[in-house]
Amino acid sequence: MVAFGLPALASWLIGAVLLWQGQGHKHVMTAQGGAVLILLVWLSQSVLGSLPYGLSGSLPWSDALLESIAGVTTTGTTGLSIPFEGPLLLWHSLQQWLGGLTTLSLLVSVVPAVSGSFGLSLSRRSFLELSRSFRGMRRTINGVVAAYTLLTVLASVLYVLCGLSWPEACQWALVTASTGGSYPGNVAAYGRPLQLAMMAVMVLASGNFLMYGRSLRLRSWKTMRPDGEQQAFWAILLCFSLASALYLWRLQDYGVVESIGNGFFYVLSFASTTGLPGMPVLEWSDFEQYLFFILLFSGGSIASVAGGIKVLRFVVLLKSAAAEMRRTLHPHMIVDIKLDGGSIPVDTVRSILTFFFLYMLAFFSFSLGFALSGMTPLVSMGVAAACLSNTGMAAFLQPGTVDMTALAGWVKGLCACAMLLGRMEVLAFLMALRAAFRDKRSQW
Amino acid sequence: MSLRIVAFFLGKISAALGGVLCLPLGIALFYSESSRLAFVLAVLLCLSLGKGLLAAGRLETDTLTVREGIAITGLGWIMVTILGMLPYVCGGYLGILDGLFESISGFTGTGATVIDHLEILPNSIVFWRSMTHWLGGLGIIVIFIALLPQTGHGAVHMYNAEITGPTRERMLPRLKDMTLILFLMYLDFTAVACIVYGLCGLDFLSSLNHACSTISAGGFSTYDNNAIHFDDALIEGWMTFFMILAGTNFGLYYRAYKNGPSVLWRNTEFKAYLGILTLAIAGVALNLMAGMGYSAGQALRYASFQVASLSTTGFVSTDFDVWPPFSRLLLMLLMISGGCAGSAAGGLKISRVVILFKLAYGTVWQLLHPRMVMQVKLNGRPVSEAALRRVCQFFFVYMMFVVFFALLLTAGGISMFDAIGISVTTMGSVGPGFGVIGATCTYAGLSDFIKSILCLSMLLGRLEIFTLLALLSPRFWRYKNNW
Repeated sequence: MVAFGLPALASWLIGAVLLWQGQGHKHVMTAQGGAVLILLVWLSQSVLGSLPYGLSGSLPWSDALLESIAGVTTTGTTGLSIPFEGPLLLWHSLQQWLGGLTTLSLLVSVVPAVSGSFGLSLSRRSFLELSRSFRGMRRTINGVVAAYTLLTVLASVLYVLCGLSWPEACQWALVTASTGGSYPGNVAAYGRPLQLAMMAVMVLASGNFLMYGRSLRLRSWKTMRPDGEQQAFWAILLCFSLASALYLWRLQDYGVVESIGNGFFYVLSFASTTGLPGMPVLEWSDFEQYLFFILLFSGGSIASVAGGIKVLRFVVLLKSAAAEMRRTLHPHMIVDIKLDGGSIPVDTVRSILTFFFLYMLAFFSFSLGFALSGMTPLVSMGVAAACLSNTGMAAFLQPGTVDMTALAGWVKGLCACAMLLGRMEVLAFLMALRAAFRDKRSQW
Repeated sequence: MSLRIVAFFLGKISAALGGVLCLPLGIALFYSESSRLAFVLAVLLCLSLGKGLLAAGRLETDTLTVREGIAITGLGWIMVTILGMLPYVCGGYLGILDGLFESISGFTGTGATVIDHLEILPNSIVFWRSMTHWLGGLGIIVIFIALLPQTGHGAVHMYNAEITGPTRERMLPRLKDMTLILFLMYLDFTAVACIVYGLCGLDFLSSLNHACSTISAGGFSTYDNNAIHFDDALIEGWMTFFMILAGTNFGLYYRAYKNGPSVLWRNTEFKAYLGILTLAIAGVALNLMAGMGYSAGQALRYASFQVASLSTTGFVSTDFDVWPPFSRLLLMLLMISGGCAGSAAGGLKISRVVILFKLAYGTVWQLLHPRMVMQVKLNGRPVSEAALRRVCQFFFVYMMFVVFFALLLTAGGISMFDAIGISVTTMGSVGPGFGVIGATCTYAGLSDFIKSILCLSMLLGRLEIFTLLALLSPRFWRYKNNW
């Protein structure tokens, strides 16, 4: 009662005070304000969300905060096993779902003003859904939230039909629709129908929620047809799954159908940055582990709840690289990079390139930080990638050797930073930092 | 594109290589070594190929197109690395793939060796290994333009296709003058390094080999255990100095010679390079003291050598494979960043790293102030939009190839971290890695499949990717293409 009642009361009170303070606001937000808002939203959700864990006594406060950040950023859990039951387990699952909801809400409302999400507006159909007007934003958020909720409900029904009980099915739906992936269970031991259902949910969760919302609003399936980004996502899934399946068939003595099924399942778990528990990682060869490690960086659709760099940005980066190849032969040539029939502005291409550099810089920096704690270089890179891409424990290279709850305080802090940075897509965090440290007397 | 012009220049390069092979032939004759015949054969083959190409080719015009420049540079490098393996193969010292690997490793300045027992090889073969480093370090095209006549106005395209770095800065207006100055400086540095090593106690041939290997940022040693053999702080100190020298822009030294040493302190890239090295040395040294119980002096000695080495050359003075994880990861990042543009070192190049950081900082500023006009400057001069875009693209493509080659290596049976290390070290033209090709190991035990992949990786890294990829594009070879 206390573990949930007090945080609920505190949240309502804080919310009420802030709403009262913000009365009569001008409905205009600067990029700077947006960046600070994004940071504060994630921090406040993490702090308030950690209260049930801490007040119940099930985790020390530092671990409670880390667990809350992991939940809210849809990374998953931080311990080798999930230490909760009953209401706390439900809260753990709900946090992941709420984290996904927050991601989508910010994506529609604040992020375009802050950074344009560096490519969010590139998909022409996504662009139609983005609006700077209050009414337009509200319309889009309603559609996105409806789509997200519908996906969760459909997932619950599917899982029940596959044999799970209602409570278990609902919680699995919460963690798969949000790509959090953290729930007690051994997915490798589940039957093929349930695995297929989870795959379907993960594919949809990695898709473009702006398009889902638009389809619901217009009641039209035409807007759901795959665009360039979706086609690229399917191409990545296909190539990596076949490579994984080939290895499973050749080296692990699986049958053809079983190899293909397992290949798709494992690949999807990482490509969607869900990171489902209980996968037979110890059976995997170095090739397969490395394949899944690479997938953490690509992530899902740019308007999805998944983490990573996002497929659309990779598509732009690859097209831009091909254009640069042509410029090697023709230095004065003007090359127009197109996506779904529309040209990509030069500024946007450069911004995406810069974003890629910042993401890799964050990855290298966190890897060095974790290595300083004594983790081997490989495990350091695995932890850094898992936290930045918000995939979680299943993505750790040599998993089972890192229990975040057993790490030193500063290392836990580093994990928390990596998860938040990954969810905020690095740039918003840097902008918030810059805004926080600027000289107040400066006009800039 | 005129293939006759390309054949003409390739013929000249082949003939020139035949001439250069006479140097180790001279050593083989002086010492009456068993490799004499191998070198004679290699010289004859190079001269014959050169003559054949010169006969087929013709200098139709003084002006080369971009495509011709790229073709000469790309094909020239491939041809030279194939011809460079002739002494190893003709003498029966190495098989074809191993010989090609050793030759590519030499010319690209990687220093990855497949030879387990160097000390049983003839002096001439060992010298040829170091010679391949020396030729490839400055660049075979740069040396060709500097020394040989009749390159014409179009030589700039050949030069641009080979030279490393994000910008095409020139310290002198005429390309021939500039390349000649670079060559003479390169020669002088090698001579000085040779003398210094001699004064430290090395015999003449060993001094010469190590001098060629150091100034070219190569890493081949004449000893199986590389620089561990010396175990001498004085020699290691001088090697560290010359490795840092080799990792700096040679053009900058000329400007410093002409205009005073203040040129060095005004150069952004040079300051960044020294800054990165200093921070890395401090970080590694502290990590060694805390993690391995080294004394301050010991830690500084090993840290400074390996940091300077693994960002450029690839010499090994201690088994860094047993170092703490932080130091190993930091060394791997140094392999990626590399040395300065216009130096003998490989990697991304410090100027690109500086530009990327400045661009990232500027982008954050611009997001906060959308109407702001952002300009990235390097050495006080604005970097053009095209150059900025190319730098970012290069970083992306470089990382993609590192990831891709590492994937192929894991498919070949190499463990994950070792594969990433091998991919990074070969793309960055460094040489030593971790685990299976660690500090005290060679590449001899790797499979033929992996060695083939690494040959490609080394060439791509040395030629900065786009030149070689252009050759692989079908559009490049279309005869009737008016572009």
